[in-house]
Amino acid sequence: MSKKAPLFALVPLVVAVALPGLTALPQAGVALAASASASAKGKEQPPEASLFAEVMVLHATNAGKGIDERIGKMPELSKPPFSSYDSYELLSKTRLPLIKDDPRTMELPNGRVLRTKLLELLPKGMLRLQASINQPKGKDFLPLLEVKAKLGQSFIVAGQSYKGGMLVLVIRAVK
Amino acid sequence: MQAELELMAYLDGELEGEALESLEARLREEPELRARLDALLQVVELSSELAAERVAAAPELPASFWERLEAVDAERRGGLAPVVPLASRAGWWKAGTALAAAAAALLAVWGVARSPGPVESASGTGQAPSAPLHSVPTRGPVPEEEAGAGVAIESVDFGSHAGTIFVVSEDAEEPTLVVWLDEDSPRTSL
Repeated sequence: MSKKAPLFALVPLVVAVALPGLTALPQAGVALAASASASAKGKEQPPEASLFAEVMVLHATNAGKGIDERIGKMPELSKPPFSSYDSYELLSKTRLPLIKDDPRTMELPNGRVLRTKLLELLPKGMLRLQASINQPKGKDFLPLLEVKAKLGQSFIVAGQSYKGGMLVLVIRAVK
Repeated sequence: MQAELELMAYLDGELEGEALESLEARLREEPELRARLDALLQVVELSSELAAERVAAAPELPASFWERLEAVDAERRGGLAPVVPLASRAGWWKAGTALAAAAAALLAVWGVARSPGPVESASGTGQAPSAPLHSVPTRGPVPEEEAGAGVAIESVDFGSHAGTIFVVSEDAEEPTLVVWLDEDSPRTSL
């Protein structure tokens, strides 16, 4: 996004120069001013993300409560080894902006920190994503995970003990 | 890890006599162990479906390989019937080039004993379900074939924990990749 801003800002200038016979000079001046303004704004504003890492944090227990309806359709939870737990509660659903080389973090219920970063956009709706789960002042749980994922396709990171059960992170890249 | 090796040997048709009877008795009595076997068989089933699509791409595989794979699939659908032994390990390793995703994950399980480097192992603990499907190197690139259709792991570092990578959900359009770390089990090397 940050690379696009200056190019986009040049459009008014190009249009003005491409209109011979009209009052090209004033128009070019206005365009230049607009261009400079847009460029300045582009530098001030952080790049906007068009992609997000959607992170669902689930708490798996054997509390006999079944699967939280807010989780949506996840047949995986009724299959081994996830079926060893009979209850899945949605603790949070967060969208972390995916911007290249701009990592974003979120705190997990157990105090650990999930960090996601877009590494590369690939053709055909694919992308390379990096994730890690760190423990401030403690041992890292998952120091590094790099995946090549298709937009909308989930993957799961599970195994963290939490309140008599386990945390299940369902991560997918979405627009 | 011993249980995993036994299950693999069972699926390989390498268990005989008392060992076979003992394991089958445990499978009847221990739901957790049965769940592990089911998970392995699920991977086999996925591989079977993929294999069916790739027969043309792997003409060098012997017909017996596909017959046995289909037999396993049939047994899987039949419930708790004894598992028909799979092809030899050599056959599985050859098939590894043709099968994708889950199949490769399963192959990695079979190949644990041959892995030259450090490996992760998974084991069930307390309330945590076991996810003993496959072991991968501690750090470094993971073959793309080991991932689900929509997600491929390029690199993973399990740190000081034991970890596994596998796929689940035969009902979904695409299998879901799972990275499972066992917080209570430190990493061990074979």
